[in-house]
Amino acid sequence: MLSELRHKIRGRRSVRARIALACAGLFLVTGGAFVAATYTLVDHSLPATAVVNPASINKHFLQACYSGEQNGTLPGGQVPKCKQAFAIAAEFGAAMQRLDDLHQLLLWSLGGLAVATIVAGLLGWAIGRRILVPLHKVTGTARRASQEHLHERISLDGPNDELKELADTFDDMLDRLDLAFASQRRFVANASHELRTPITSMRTLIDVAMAKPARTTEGLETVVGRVREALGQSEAIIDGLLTLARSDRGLTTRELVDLEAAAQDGIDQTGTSARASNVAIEADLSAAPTLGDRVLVERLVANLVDNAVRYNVTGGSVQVETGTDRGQSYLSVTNTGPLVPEPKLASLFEPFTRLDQRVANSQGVGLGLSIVASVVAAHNGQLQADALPKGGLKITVWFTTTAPWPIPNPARAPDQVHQNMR
Amino acid sequence: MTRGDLVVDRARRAVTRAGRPVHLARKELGVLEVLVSADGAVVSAEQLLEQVWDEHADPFTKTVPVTVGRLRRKLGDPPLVETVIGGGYRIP
Repeated sequence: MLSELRHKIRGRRSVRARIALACAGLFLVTGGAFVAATYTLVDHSLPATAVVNPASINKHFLQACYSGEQNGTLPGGQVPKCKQAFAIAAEFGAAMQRLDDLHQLLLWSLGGLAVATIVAGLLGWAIGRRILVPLHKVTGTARRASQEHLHERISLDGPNDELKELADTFDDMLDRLDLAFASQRRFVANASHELRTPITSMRTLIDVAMAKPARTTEGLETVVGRVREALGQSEAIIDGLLTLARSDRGLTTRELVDLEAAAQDGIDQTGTSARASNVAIEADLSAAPTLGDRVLVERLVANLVDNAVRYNVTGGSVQVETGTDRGQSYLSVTNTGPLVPEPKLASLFEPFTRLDQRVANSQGVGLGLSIVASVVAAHNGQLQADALPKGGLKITVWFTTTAPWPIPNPARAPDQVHQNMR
Repeated sequence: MTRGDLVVDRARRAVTRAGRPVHLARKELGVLEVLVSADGAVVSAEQLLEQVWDEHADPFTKTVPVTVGRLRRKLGDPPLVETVIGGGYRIP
């Protein structure tokens, strides 16, 4: 833990130091180039001087010439010699002056460069801090974010740069995690509530029946019937939860499934209850083959058809359609029914949610559409739900279609066909 | 159960014809099973209705011929299920 922290600190410092070093280094390189250029330029622009051999200057002779000229004691024969010596000395002085000038220039330039490089490094150090502040914020939030503190956000303000993008992306991720955890908590809370309710009512029914002083057979039979109903409800919930868990796990088998056959089954199964509630089922089915888990797909279709009949109006209708379109097999179920407000549409696919609040009414257990969503997700399919303006829903599921409907070819022997399929 | 190139696996509810899988709805599978078990004998629409459909089925609907039609289409060529006029259906 401590070494981890130390490592983090060192890592953080090294990024900051790298920024400072980069600043100083860049300044040194460009500044050095600039100094070199200036030096060369000045060197070229100063007038060139003759090369003088210092050995050729006789200091005593010069001194004698000088004092002789001042006192007027210079012998006439020495005058041209002295003039030549003076000229050489003057040229030597100019060359010395030029060298000295260049030397001074170089000294000041290099000194300035050194100071400026240090300043650049210090500025880089300071800028590094500024750059890293948002990163520290992201790190801090990430470290604090746990299942309980997912509501915290970085909400970085400042220019719309890469760091802001990072912070915003991180915030978005936290949003999604928060939602996922919240929905999971809701699911667990609802599941336990829904599982407990029928059990509680069974216990109450039995307790009340047993507390009666005079128990009649008819009375007990009524109680048994109601307990059986509650048991059916429990069974439906457990069954639904197991299906949900199975499809959430993903697919283990893939076999040929025809949405048409599944829809036919769904319609056959709901036929009785549809007739009882006077709902007409219209079917327009054609082959819609796909690969998937047959049990799950049949459950999905049955749920959609069952829901469409269950949440309908008396004298309403349900339309079931299957087929293929642009390489996709689809099934769509449209029903008449109560008006669904657009914002509530998505929540219908959450476990234990019904349009008429989360009440344990006798109709359904509230898992149907969440199973649909989960099965579609397990098959990498698409799900589309549209609230119809006159009330009711149109739900369409799309799956990848498999090879065209296999029409047996009698010319082929069965074993050859097997090989071809592999 | 097999009949020609048709294989019906009752336990897995899997049907293949000439090695190719066919996905049938329950009622279609039920009709097919009855016809295959009849071993070439003629099965009447009333018998099918009684054996495959439950007690809620309406005997006056066209549900049996419709289901047999779908079954024929899914099983493909060459035609397997024959219609015996005035009698019912059979798989010879």
